[in-house]
Amino acid sequence: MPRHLGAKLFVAALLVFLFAPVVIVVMFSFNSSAELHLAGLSTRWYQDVFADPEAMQALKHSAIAAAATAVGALALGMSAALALMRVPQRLRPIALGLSALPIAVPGLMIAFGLAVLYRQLNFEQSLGLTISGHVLIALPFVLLTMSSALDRFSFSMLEAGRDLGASAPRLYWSIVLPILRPAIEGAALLAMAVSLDEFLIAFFTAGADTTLPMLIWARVVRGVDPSLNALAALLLIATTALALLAARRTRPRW
Amino acid sequence: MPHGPKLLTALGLAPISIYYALLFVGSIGIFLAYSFYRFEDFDFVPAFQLGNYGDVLGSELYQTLILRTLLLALAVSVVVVTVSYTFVYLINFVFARHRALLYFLVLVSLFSGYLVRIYAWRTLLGAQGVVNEALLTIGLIDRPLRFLLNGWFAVGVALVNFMIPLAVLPLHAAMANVSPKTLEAARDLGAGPVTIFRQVLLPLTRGGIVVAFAFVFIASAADVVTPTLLGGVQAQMVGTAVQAQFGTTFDWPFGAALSFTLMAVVLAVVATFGWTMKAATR
Amino acid sequence: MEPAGHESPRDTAAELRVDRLRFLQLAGAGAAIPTLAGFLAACGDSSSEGGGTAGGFDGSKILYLGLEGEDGKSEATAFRKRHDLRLQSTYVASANDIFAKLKAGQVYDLALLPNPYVQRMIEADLIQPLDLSQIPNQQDLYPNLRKPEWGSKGGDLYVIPIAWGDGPFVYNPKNVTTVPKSAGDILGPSWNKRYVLFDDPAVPFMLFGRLLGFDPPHLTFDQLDQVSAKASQLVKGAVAFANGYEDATDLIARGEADLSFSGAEFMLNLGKEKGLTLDYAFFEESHGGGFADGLAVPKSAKNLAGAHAYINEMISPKVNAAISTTLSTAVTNEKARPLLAPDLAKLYSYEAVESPDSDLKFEDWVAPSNPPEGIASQADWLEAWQKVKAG
Repeated sequence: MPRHLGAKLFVAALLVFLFAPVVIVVMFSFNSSAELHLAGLSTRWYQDVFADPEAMQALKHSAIAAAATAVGALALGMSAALALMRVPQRLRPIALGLSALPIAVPGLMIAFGLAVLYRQLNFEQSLGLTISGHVLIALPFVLLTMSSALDRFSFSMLEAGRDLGASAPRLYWSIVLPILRPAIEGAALLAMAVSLDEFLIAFFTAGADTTLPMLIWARVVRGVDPSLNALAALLLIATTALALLAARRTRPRW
Repeated sequence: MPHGPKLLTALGLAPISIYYALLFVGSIGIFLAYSFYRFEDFDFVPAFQLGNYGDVLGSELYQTLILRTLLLALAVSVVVVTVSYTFVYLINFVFARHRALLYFLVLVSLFSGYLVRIYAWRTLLGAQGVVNEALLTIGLIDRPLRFLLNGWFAVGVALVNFMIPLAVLPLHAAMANVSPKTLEAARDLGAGPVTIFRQVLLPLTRGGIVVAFAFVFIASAADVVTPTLLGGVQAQMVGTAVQAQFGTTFDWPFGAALSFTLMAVVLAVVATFGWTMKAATR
Repeated sequence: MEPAGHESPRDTAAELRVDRLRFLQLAGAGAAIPTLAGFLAACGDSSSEGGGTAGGFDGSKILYLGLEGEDGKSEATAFRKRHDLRLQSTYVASANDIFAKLKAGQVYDLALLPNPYVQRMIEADLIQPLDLSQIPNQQDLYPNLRKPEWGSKGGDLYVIPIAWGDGPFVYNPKNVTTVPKSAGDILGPSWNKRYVLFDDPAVPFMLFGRLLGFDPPHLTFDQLDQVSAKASQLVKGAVAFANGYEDATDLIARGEADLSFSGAEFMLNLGKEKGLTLDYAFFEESHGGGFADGLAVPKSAKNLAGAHAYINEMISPKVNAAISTTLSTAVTNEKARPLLAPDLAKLYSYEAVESPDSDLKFEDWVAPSNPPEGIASQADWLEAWQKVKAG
């Protein structure tokens, strides 16, 4: 009997289970027929998507939201992660734990809460409000990524730099940023992936600025539409690519 | 350097703290305030009264819904944590060479189109779906299994499917506390698998288990999309009832009270779980 | 995303640091959030704001909220071009989403409302009375749709129907040999787990109310209990709640169900696209509950002139016929019917909307909001339905 046969089967079965729905979506996106059985290969649904102004508009909104979320979450998350380095070691997990609250609370409550809050403030719903919510749920990911990178950061280098007479801005510019750059980029990509796949906050705050998940929702509950599979496959490829890039940039200790 | 001027630390933490205070505390806070409001003539009248909570707690209907939701969330959490723990253990100590790849594969599915992935289960579990067709072809069944889709089974399967990466994340981090040498030493001392798990693994990974359980339990208990798309007429959960308050009956204060009641019960379960784990590994 | 848009990627890191300093300053001033939101909003939508002026609406933007396919996206293009109008549509999955979005404060110029929702929307103060002088085509609507009770309050009209149907059930003739006659037949064992429903009390309560010899939508509490008991049986025997007609068709196509308890003639077309032949029929209790989808102007609307003109266009004979052709629904403008293909023109019995004593009464779907003593209200129906669903 091969070594670890049971363990191998377990891991294989888990991966099959995890990816079964993903594979189905991609497979049907290339189905040549609109019927529910696979007929032949075709890219007609992709052509439909690219010819569909609604889908293109949603794609644009989603891309803007993803980029803005990355910028916003990085700006807030980086300053916090750097400041956290000065917080005593034993307090850090508490701070990180608190910062993870937005992803521990059900998305529905945050989405409704934001909708009610902005209504109370008389803010007109728009993509900007959605982005503010996306920044909130992307922050924990950014903060965790940045903190773990800073944990491994050697501060003796900064001290050496300072001993050599470098000014603080110069220290940041020529030492801190280059070293942290992969982590920053990784965090940004992660933030974009979070924003691209987020539905509830967008639904309740974006108003007429439909994002991709909102469009998919409006169409998904009305029954299957083959171009939906193509749309979903595109979203899937985008988020997977972002996650893949993020993983390559951050190189966590696996 | 790590203990620099306090002012700089405060300045660095200020923006994020203000952001959290305004958006997170602000949104959850105002939602909480709404749960005390009165609903009159389709209007939300500011008030402080516990009537909405009284209506939730006094209603047999919502007691039943909350209980069912908790049971489903509990079942999902137990399955997810067990499976994810096994997986994380295997990639760390058995397939350590492929750890990076395997971990990454699981994480990727965390961001892969949540809505459509749920919908794809219709194609997998339906009467003419992939699973039924396969079983029919190999002759295990002679007529499609109808319980697969449109009910608790489908909701459970879909929830387990997208919660696994969420649990793998904290469990993997916790497993980093366990060095292969510790396991080896325990084995050399003659400890069996059960003893190793109880005496070595569990105490070192307890934090990760509790966090994973909390993540999965909270997220499954509050889910709306899965029961709507896969639950059939059977799987009515609190999330769907909350949503009905927002769109159908228009009673947001009651919906808010229902949400916070559910959250309170959910947090109580999570706290109990954490406490039990602590007591068990003392 | 940079406001200036000319920075090279190399500068991003510097940008981030500058951003951080700016954020610190803003935080000090306590203005970080509104500014950030405003800044992001400014980046998010660079297009010009197109509110119409009081008189003209040329060159303005119309924000539509509703189901896909009922915004005239492809049917009213000529009109939009002529007036340089931009239509920006938000599609929702169901009418429930419309309320949630309007109540959350979103600005929309047009909302699509199915008849059972209109009175609730009026009472919730979310839609406004229409200025009929700006909708001359309203005169040409079928008599029963011109000023329907379900769309009016206090002498004002709030909604203009653009499409209607007469509420059949739809089934797959391949698997259904004995077509049910009464809604009660569906409760028999032979139909167990073979049909889908909508998650709404209106149709089942109305049908079972009639079956039991009551006078829905005016049900006493005791009658509501009896109707609920029947509805409970109905829900228990159903396969799933369909999220709309498309979803119902999809479930039949997938072999999950053989019949949709609430249906529409256009499901036959939807079925055809999936290679499926469907048929429809009426329960003997059912003539009396059709659907009518109408356009309303939300209270939050900014482009009033544009919204009214667009509604007028949507019921103009040509556009109304085109919408009917797309959706296989019935037309609401009398002058649109001759423009339909013969098959489609014959699909619906138009006496239903022509004759004053027609038995197709759209308002029958809806329980009164403020009923007389002893009669169950809409809120009571909804609560009863929640209980029915929880089993």
